[in-house]
Amino acid sequence: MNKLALPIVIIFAIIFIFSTSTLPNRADVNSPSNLHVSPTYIEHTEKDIGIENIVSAVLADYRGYDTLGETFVIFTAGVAVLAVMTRRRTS
Amino acid sequence: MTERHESVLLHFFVRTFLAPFIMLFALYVLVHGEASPGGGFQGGAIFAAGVIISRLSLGLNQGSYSFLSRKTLLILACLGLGTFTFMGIAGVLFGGSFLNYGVVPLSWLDYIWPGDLGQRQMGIFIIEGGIALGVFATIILLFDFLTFETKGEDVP
Amino acid sequence: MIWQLEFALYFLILISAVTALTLRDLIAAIAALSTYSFLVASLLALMGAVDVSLTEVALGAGVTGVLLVGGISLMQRRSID
Repeated sequence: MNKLALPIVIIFAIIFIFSTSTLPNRADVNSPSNLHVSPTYIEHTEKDIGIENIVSAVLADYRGYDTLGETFVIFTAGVAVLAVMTRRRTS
Repeated sequence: MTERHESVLLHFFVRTFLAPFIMLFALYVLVHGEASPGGGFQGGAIFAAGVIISRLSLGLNQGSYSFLSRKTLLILACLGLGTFTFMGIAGVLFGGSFLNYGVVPLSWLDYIWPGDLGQRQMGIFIIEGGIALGVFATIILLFDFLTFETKGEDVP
Repeated sequence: MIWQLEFALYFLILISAVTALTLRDLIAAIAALSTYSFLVASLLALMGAVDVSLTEVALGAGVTGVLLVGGISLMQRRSID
């Protein structure tokens, strides 16, 4: 293994640990995302969509475009592997 | 390297006791995804794992499998993605925005499958099925093409 | 939240990641990678993100390992570097 790799990893680990110390704590009720983003979805999901699971509602309906792109990425990976491996058989 | 033998007993146990329960759990994750953790992506991946484990028990060097050939899998993947995209375009056709399932008239499906689901839930259910079908077929397609036959050569 | 359990999980994740990087036998490295993925999934489930955990344990620990084993069956088993 390269001798330069270990010091670089240690430096980045120190930077990341120091930068995470300024983030809000996990499950902090006063963090910005828990003040207005989460309550909006919790209040409006039952009324807008009508299903209980908020994660499913966000994935399938609020952010449906994202899920569509994600499925297309998976399909593109399959088609790419198909193209490469089919080329291998004919040569 | 040792030779690869087909184990009839292993295949019997896997396809009798292991794969059906994995597929049943996958169907539960898919269908019950609106009320509990789960959904199309996870259900399709677990269902593909159930099919892959029964193919692994047959041995890796099978040229082609009789159950779900490659052409069928490609058609299934296109069908799943097509379902999702068609539901998105249907929202535009019925006067809403793209991927807005609330305006698609799907309430006639209650006669086929009774339940108290609204139009929007029915649309979400259909696209979850489309995602599951696409992910399922694509993962098995990846597996089939990555475990291409190595013409019996030893892998050192 | 049991912090001892979480600390043990972090420790095991670190050990399995380093093991997956340093092993020469690629099949064993895939096993270590699947272990890493499973431990990350259990950490996510402990944090309350059950959906992400389900995806991680289905794709990361299950399907990815099988696909990598299938890819390695096409090539050399031992790593060179």
